[in-house]
Amino acid sequence: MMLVLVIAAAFVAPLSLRAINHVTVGVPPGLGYLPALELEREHRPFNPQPIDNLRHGQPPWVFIGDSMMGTRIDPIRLGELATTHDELVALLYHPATGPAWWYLAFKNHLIASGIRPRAVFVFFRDTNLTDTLFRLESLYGNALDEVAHEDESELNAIVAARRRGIWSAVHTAAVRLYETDSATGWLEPAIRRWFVNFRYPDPSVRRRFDRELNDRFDLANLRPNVAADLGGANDRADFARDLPTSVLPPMLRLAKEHGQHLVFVRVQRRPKGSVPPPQSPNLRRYVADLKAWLESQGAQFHDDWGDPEMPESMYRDGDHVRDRQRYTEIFRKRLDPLFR
Amino acid sequence: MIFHSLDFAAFFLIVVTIYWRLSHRGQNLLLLGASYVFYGWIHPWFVLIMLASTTVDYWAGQRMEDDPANKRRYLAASLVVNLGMLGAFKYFNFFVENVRDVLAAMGLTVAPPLLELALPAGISFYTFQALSYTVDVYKGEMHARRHPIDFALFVAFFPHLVAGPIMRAKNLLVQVERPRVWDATLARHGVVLVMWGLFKKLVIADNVGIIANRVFSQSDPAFEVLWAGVFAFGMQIYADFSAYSDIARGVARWLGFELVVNFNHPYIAHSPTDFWRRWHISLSTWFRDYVYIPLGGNRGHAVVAACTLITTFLVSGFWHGASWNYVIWGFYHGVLVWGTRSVGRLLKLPEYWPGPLALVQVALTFTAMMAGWLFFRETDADYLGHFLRLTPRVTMLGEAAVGLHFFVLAATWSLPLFLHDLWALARERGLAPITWIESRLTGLRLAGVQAAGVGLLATLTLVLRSTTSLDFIYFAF
Repeated sequence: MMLVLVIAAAFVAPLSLRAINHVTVGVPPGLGYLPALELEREHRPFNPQPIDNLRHGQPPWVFIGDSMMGTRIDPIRLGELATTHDELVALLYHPATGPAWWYLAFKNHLIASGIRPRAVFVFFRDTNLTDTLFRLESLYGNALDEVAHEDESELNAIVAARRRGIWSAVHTAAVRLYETDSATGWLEPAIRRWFVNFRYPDPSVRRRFDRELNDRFDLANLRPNVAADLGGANDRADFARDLPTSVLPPMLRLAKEHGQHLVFVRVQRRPKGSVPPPQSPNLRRYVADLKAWLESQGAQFHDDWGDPEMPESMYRDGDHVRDRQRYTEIFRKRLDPLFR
Repeated sequence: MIFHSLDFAAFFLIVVTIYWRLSHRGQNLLLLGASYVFYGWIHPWFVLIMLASTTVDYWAGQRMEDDPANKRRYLAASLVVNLGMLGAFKYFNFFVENVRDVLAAMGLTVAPPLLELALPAGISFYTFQALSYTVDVYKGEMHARRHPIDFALFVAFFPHLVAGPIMRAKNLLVQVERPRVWDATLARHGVVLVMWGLFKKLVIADNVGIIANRVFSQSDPAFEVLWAGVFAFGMQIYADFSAYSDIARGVARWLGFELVVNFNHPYIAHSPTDFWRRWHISLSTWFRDYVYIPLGGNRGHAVVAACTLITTFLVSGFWHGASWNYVIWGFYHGVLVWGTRSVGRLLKLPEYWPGPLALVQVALTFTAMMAGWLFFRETDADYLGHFLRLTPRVTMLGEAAVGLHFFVLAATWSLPLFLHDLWALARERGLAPITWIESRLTGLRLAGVQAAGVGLLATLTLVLRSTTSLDFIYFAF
């Protein structure tokens, strides 16, 4: 009997969170656009500004990606090399983003703008394109909010399919039953921030401290091997298995429907001297399959891997490139027909 | 399979449900099969390695008893196979790389082949456990076992397989061979241990682990930031490793087994020697009984005794991993234990400092133990050298604030551990209110407190579990 009491306590006590949440945060903010992944969370509003910018600029070349693209493409230099104007290249860029963000930026910003650039470049590393859950959860959600509408049922279905399985359902059911996400939303920051709030009661000083803290841990201050490993390849990736639950099929479908020419650019990870980074047999197979599929769908694939003009000296930290202008010049040269 | 997964929850529920419906023999057979499933869940070939160790030790034990004239040979066979496997999987590349570096320093360039093998999880634990059996049989301290299932279960028993506690044959084999009866009180205590373990792992270890990882991912952290990271790692490794032991003990209780206590509030130790009586107790006592004492222990000349002590710590450090930093870590502790003992004897200091000085003694020991974690955490020799040269004077303005922030954050997450330790310290020193409270916690009252504690821990674990789930640190050893 006493054993049952103790076991029952583990399952019943967390129900108190529902009452505590009700008092602390009031009505839950709602499920949001990815109920397959997360539950109640305060969402940031959709940012429509890039749509206006695209409509106004009518750029013939649009680049989508994270810091892999941000540290490689110099839009001014590319504009100079392509034409004499410098505002013809648009970047749909956000650091630390993944395929879900790239897909939503393509759909909700570029397609929504109605423009038809000559080429849309999507930068990625190794297996990122089919790694649907890459940079999707937790803090990455904030960046996603800015490119997502209230209803993203297609992305949600993809995420749900990727997370399918009984354990995912059990986890989701438990989180819903106990409302743990709401409780985490207020209790975790209270613990994590109590000392900062206590020590820096002035919000402006607190913001400065946060900024300094972030500066100390940006990529430039990380050990090279740590920076290089961030977002590394998943060596267990299987293109045929992962494709149906990735954003690639809807992205390519949209491109066909709206006459967009997609160019997927696989950046080279940090080489050793002039030797390109090693690739496992599985990764080689994956890349070959990816290339074949993209080309069969009318998209273009470009691979930086093994480019002799991209030695280690060109890199800053991890997979980030030090010299954007130089990379842009090489990139322009390699994909010359697209810029003529 | 890892404890904090739904796979394990389902697996354990199925095993327990069937287990108590079987006879003693059936239970052992089920547990053996379950243990191999548990161990081979990710890499089924790991089971083959364990089977090799099990077969050799089973055979060697019997041959030692049947052919006592050659028992030294059979012991050697057991040592060669077990340590050979450990050497091949864990130390081969380390050895080859060091030879290559030495030759390179002499101007000889060689490119010896390296093994690209995954280290079988828990190999350091179960090989040491199996070795304790053959050594004990060799010494005549126990009889060789004739039942292959019982012996194989002793090696493979899943609750403690991957990260201990390292059970002695004298203790665990006897429990394997004895019929077990369901004890609801033991099971209830088991639930408390499992819940406390899950809380320590998912809330404390994983949250402070993020701080430690952030600091140690920096190429040039300031002095204050570095030591805040070392403190965070010290709390992480304690919470993480003791969590595994607690969950193992709790799970074993549901199966009618009692595993040894592996951690006894090590951070309230009053000296480095005392720390090693409280930290990873099953490994410390293993090294004491199978390395330190056979090497001579504290007998003989003071210099010889000091060398024996430091050598034992060096080997213990090397057991943790194939990297020089672990050897340095072992050396640091060896010197610390020897040094504090010598100074204590020289100055005729009491083992327990009186009155409030006891807290100073604990604080000094705590600081020395924390400092040692730098050698354990930093595996890169260049960074380690750089960190040891850091001083507060060369840091940039504001680094102290960042360091203090990380320190307070790590301490905040670790607060439940500190409170638990303080309670234990008060109990050890016989503080009246504590002993009075504990004496009144019996029967239904104890069950009520346990239920409240489990409910609170479950709630906090669900809410505060880290979003980044880190592996148990000792899985790597």
